[in-house]
Amino acid sequence: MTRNSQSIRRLVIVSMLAACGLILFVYESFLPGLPWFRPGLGNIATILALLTFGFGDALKVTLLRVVLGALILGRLFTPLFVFAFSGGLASAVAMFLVMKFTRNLFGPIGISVLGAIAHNIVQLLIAYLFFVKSVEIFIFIPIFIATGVIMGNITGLVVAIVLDRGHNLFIGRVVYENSENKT
Amino acid sequence: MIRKYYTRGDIILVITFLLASIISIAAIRYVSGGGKHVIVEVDGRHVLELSLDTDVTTTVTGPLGDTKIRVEGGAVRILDSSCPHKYCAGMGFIRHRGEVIICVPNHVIVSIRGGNEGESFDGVTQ
Repeated sequence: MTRNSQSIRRLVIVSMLAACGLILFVYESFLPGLPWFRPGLGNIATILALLTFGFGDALKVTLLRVVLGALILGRLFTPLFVFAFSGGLASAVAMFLVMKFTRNLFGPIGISVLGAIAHNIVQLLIAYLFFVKSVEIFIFIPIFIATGVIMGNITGLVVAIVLDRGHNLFIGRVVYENSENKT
Repeated sequence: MIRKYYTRGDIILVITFLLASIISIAAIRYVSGGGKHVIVEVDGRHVLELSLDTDVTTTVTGPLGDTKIRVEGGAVRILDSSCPHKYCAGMGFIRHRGEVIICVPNHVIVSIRGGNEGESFDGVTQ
């Protein structure tokens, strides 16, 4: 493949990931239930972009999802948008740092769990700083960590399976095969 | 098999965080017995204090409008609120010290404090 077709391929895959993440995000917002029990399925696209193409593209996928999702749902610049935006950004940055500084310690599931926890904690912080201004809300930290672990497991597992089955589409950094051989 | 998708780091991470959060949730439950007072805050300002012993329905006003609060049988809930999603009303009753209901859009916090004049900390943490 020439260099040009490589970059077109990358552009197409990143766009498709952004579209998939957007659809998951919009559908997820129709689920009934409390706001902090959302699975965060849109994060699947972010992690796939992060593992396949790196931080820049993961950031593009996240920001496109959050902004376009808010436009579709009619909640641009509302509190829900602020939460989704800050949470998505925090999760992308946290996952990038985890990936960068812990070489091959965590697979997609560990990265996803840490991203989900970062997402939840930052949302709690935003709620404290801009909306409720009362320290009482930090009593929710354990619950937020628990839901982050559970939902991060689900999204991480989807990412791991997609990377495993679709390896000719996503040339990802699949670490669990190495660690399986070692143990 | 699902097992092959987990690295050793993943498993340690998941178990550690899950245990830590379950233990702290249990600890919070254990420390906070039944409460005595309901504190209602709007925009971080303390606007109302109710006793859990008397059943009452009352209303506070936040930036979006009124939030209706109901005390009943030693527990408190938000009956209705002028917020778009009504998650706060969906949370149901709370009755233990330290529990809170938060309505983010209307900036309302309903929390339960313990026995002595709304003190929620013990001698050590104070």
